[in-house]
Amino acid sequence: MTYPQMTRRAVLASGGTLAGVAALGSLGGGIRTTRAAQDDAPVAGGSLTSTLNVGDISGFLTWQASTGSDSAAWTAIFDTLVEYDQDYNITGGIFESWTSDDAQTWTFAVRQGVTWHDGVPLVAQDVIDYFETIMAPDSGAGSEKVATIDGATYEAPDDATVVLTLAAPNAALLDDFSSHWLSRTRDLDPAHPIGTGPFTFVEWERNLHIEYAKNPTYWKPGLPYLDALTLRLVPDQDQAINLLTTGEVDAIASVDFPKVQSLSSNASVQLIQVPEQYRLAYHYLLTRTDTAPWDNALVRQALNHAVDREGMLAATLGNGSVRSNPVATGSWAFNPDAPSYNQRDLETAKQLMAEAGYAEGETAFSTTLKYWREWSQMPQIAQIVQANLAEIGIEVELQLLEIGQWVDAVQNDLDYEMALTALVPRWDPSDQLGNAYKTDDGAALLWNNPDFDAAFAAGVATAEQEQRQAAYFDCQQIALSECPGTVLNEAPIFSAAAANVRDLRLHNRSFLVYTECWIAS
Amino acid sequence: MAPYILRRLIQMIPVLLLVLALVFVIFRMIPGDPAQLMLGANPDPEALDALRTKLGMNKPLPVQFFEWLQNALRGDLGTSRISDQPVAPLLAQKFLITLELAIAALFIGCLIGIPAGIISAVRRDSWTDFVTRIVGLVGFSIPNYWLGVLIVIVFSVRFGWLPPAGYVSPTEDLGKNLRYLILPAITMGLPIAAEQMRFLRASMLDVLQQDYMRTARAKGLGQSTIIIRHALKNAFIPFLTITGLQLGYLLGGSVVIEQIFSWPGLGWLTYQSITVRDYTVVQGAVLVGATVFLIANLLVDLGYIYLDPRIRPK
Repeated sequence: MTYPQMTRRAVLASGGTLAGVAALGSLGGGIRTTRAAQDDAPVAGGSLTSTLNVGDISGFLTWQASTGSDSAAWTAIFDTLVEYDQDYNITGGIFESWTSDDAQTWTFAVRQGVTWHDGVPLVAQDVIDYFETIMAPDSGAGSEKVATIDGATYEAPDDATVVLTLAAPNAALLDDFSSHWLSRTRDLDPAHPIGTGPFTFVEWERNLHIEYAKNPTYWKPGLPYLDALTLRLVPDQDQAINLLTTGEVDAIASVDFPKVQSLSSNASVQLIQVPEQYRLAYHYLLTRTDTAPWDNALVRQALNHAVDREGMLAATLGNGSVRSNPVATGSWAFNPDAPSYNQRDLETAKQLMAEAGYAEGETAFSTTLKYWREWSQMPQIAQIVQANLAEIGIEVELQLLEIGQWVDAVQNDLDYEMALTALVPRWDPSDQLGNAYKTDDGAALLWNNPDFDAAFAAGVATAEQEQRQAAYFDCQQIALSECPGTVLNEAPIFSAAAANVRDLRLHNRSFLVYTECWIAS
Repeated sequence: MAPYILRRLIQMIPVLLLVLALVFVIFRMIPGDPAQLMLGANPDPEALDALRTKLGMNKPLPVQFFEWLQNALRGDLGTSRISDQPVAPLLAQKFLITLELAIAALFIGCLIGIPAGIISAVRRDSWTDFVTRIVGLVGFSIPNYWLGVLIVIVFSVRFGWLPPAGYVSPTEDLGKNLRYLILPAITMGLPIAAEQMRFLRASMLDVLQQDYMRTARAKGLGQSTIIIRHALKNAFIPFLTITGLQLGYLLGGSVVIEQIFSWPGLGWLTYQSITVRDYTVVQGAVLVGATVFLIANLLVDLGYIYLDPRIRPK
């Protein structure tokens, strides 16, 4: 099912949109991660056919908002301005290196010796053209991409340098740039995109496939290993699994958790997950913090104590992990001392409700919870929330909406009391925290806290990681005490591949990266 | 005959306009703003307004509709708001893919349905008739999405005889194309066969009881001549009605079957375009679907005229 990733804050999703992980391991069967050992040497040659997430891509206009499928399709053709390595450290992409003393003025060295797929050398002006395209009023550029350089000045003093002066310091700029796929916008043909990436574009037949060929002049030595890549577009995840198990495709981007068990016992298939410490996706419960009863922090804390995250883990058949903090445990910004709600504490929840003025044993209030079900676990999670909150006197009426209706109702019209969704932020803590709690990063939450905003601003304003860490520790302390929104466990994400597929990387933003993938004999 | 066809073609125009106008309005009432979908969360209001202007969404609905119609009359169905591709060639490509599946499904339906209907009628109340009717009833009642999944599980996953889903152009590799075609064609063809069998049986039974059939037997005509030349031709009129409607539905694209088998035709494209609010593609697909349905109806009426000269227009 492809549904657009309509909003970063709101829905990530789009119909099972999440891709899975990377494929590794020399033996079929079992669950592996991108970090699994790879003893054998890569072999060049061969072709790979993979499905995208369910549905088609939205095109090759890389400055627009992207779905997980778009990201996978774009990464094959285009390079991002900077990249994350497998340990989620920023590394060079189109920008080979950079300097900035104040996180406001940045000087980037454009990688030399890179050519576009038509043989034209890459120059700094190409980046400036891309920025200009984003900032054109009717470009349709994704709001996140506009926000990165909104109000900035940029110039290319020579072919190898881009100087960018932001409107305000932004230590997360490089993280932003990891989601900017550079296309040559001055002579763009959307039907025949040209990039600098590992594969050249051959054909996109809508709802059928996207075909790529190896870029023989790719700037990463020896890569890609594959001679050809085909991304099959399938409308249904069961069908993708059938294609994998019958050998029609070599990899599938996503596997819904109910199918994990049956696939894990198939020796010709390997299931893959991102290493737990780097996983970003989680279920998220929004509460209207500007009106009663959710304007009362005690009630929100009671909610957090009352929900049974262990029970939710069982609802996803043990896949995923218990989680109540939006910051991934592997992040340098994860605060282990921030309030945690991983263990259910019903007594404390009841006590908090009593402090908030709701007598035990009586119905405190009735409310509604709006949710979508493009991820199969969402109905169960909504039902568990409903059952858990009934135990502290809160009656919850569940309202299932089509995803477009959900966005309209919750995000645009703010017509909700509680709303369930899923988020997949970027890796930088500013995005992990901003996605969850910042009102200017998503208007639906309506939570304003000057102390949080000050700490958050301090985290973005400095390039010093120690200072940033301290600021984000404060952010977690404040937000997880006030509980404006509720993290309800990791959203389990899997992909799968045939047993002979190697080094197919799953990015933690839920799309497959084929650059280093190879086929074992 | 030509004036009749011309008159019928002219009569199609208001029907088409009404269908298009209804879909145009209804689709825009569905929640979900395509401009906002393109921009993502919290777009700058000015950027949103600029994009809506660029997409023509800021104009009043009637103006949008008539502009679209004006362009459509020139053969320009616009560009996809999502992928920036021209809609007309996209629809033409998808229609041909759906056409192949529709013809194959109808062929399978006729191949099974016509003989089964004839045999069932000729051997009325025999065990053959009984079995055929039961099978027909089951085939008619089974939802095709369930049948499709079942067929995939049995023939692809269990036995590995045919690929579970996909498509290869016949111009690229005819053999592969047929391998991918078989399962969706069977899935769509079996319910068609069941429906045709039931209609043809009832129609044949009615004809077989007519006086002229007794006359034909009295003249000493052989059974096969009586069945094929006298009974079947007359029984074909109601059968033709149902077949024409079936063809119209098939050519509009089957959303469910095309999705189950990853058959990249008109149905799947329409469904996908609805989910991402790609107005121009949906509007174009509706135009194609409605036109095809109306033309199928016209062909049915012309078929009546061929089969029954009494209703030929004067």
